[in-house]
Amino acid sequence: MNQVQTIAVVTIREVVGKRFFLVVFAGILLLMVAGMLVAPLNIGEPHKLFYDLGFSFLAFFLLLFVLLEGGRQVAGNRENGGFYWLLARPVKRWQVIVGIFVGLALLAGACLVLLGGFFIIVLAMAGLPIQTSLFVPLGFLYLKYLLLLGLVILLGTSFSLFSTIFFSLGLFIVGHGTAMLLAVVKKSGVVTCLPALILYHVLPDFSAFHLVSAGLHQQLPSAGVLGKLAVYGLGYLGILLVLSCWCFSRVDLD
Amino acid sequence: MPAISFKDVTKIYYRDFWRRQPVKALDSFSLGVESGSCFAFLGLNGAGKSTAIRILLGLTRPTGGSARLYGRPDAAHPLTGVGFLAENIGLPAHVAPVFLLRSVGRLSGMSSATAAEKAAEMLDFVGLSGVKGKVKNLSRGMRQRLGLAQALMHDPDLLVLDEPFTGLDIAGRREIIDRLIELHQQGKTIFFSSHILEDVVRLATHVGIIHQGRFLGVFKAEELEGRPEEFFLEKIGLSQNV
Repeated sequence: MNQVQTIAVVTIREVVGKRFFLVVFAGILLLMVAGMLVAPLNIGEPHKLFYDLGFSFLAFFLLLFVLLEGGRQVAGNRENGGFYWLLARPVKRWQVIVGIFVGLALLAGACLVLLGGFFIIVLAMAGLPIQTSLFVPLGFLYLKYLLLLGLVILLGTSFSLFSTIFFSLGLFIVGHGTAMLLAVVKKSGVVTCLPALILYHVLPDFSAFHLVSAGLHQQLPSAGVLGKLAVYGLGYLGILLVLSCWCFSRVDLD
Repeated sequence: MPAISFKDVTKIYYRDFWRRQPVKALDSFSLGVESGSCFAFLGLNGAGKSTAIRILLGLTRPTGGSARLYGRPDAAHPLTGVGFLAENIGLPAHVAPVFLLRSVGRLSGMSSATAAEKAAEMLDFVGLSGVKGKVKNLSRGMRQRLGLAQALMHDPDLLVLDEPFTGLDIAGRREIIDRLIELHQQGKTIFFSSHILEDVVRLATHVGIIHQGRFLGVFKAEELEGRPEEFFLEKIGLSQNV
């Protein structure tokens, strides 16, 4: 556990030390403030547009963070010999993967809390209502990007940095359409049904985690449905991490 | 028991994804390095030195054969008593050197206080004690010295150094060689690869030569004295062409 903790701390310090990360973070803060200017365009319910924009900026930050940092910390380090200093001592390879994941997940969570807190301050300053029902979608937004982080780490154990980011982004986009595959299954014949069904179960369903609109209109699914969604997300993430550890334990670090 | 042993190690790389163009980086490579020696591993670029070292440390799997540290199988060795400096060591660039060394200490099982104490000691040992800022701001030579410090953090019995003098100027090389001689005199086993023959002669007690993945034999360092280049080229069969 000590090894995982140390690797997580090194990962956090390494990412926070980058100017790029701080610039993106500051940029998102500015965008949130800028959201105040366009919010009144939504006549009657300006806070809804403001919430939509705020969540979009949060999601954009998490997407950049997960793709770039997740990719760099695994695929990037694999390519430039960044794991030698770690693995040439009593550290197991799974500890490296888990340590990196924990470090990036904690940092993403901290950023989400900071950005979310700033968002609430901006809301209060603009005199707009604070909808507590949106904390649930915020949690699922975090889980969604943890899933993407798991995917980036898995691909990073075997692919180059560029390929990792490219394929992760591709799967992220495709993953928003997996619900449509289910519709294909229901409508199509037996031949096309099976591949679509397999794809539906193999690919992550990212769209299921997008609950902002439902939260905004006070139409969140029941606690049971949300519980199942959380179990699905955490279960899928667990599988991705186990696969990542397995792949990384077999890869040659040349 | 030898500190390092390779037995019939073969490593085949493939140039393309479809595995159509195999390249033999190591060909039935066998070698034993006794504890307490300072062993130089000589070879031209691409001879297979780094591949052998990575296999020894479990970073790369051999296609055939086995490599052992103190008789332990490569897949299971805990690397507790080994310090490693890679040729292109990708140390975290955006952290302070002292933080990096403390983390290395923690990863090697030290308490926070011991790791902090040892980090300061090691920075002093490699001449980086007054250095401020992040790793990325260090010169190549300073980074190499930091790499040596991280390899020494847990006071290992065996040091494995892949091209430790790369990127160092004459003064830096001399400084590192003096440090390594000091460590060898303390009883540590040193296994290093290099193609700077002058440094090899100054430092090593034994020399192993590898060429095109094949091991050509172990020689006493004295045999190279006075004519290291001729000796080396003669052994790899290039003396007629140079």
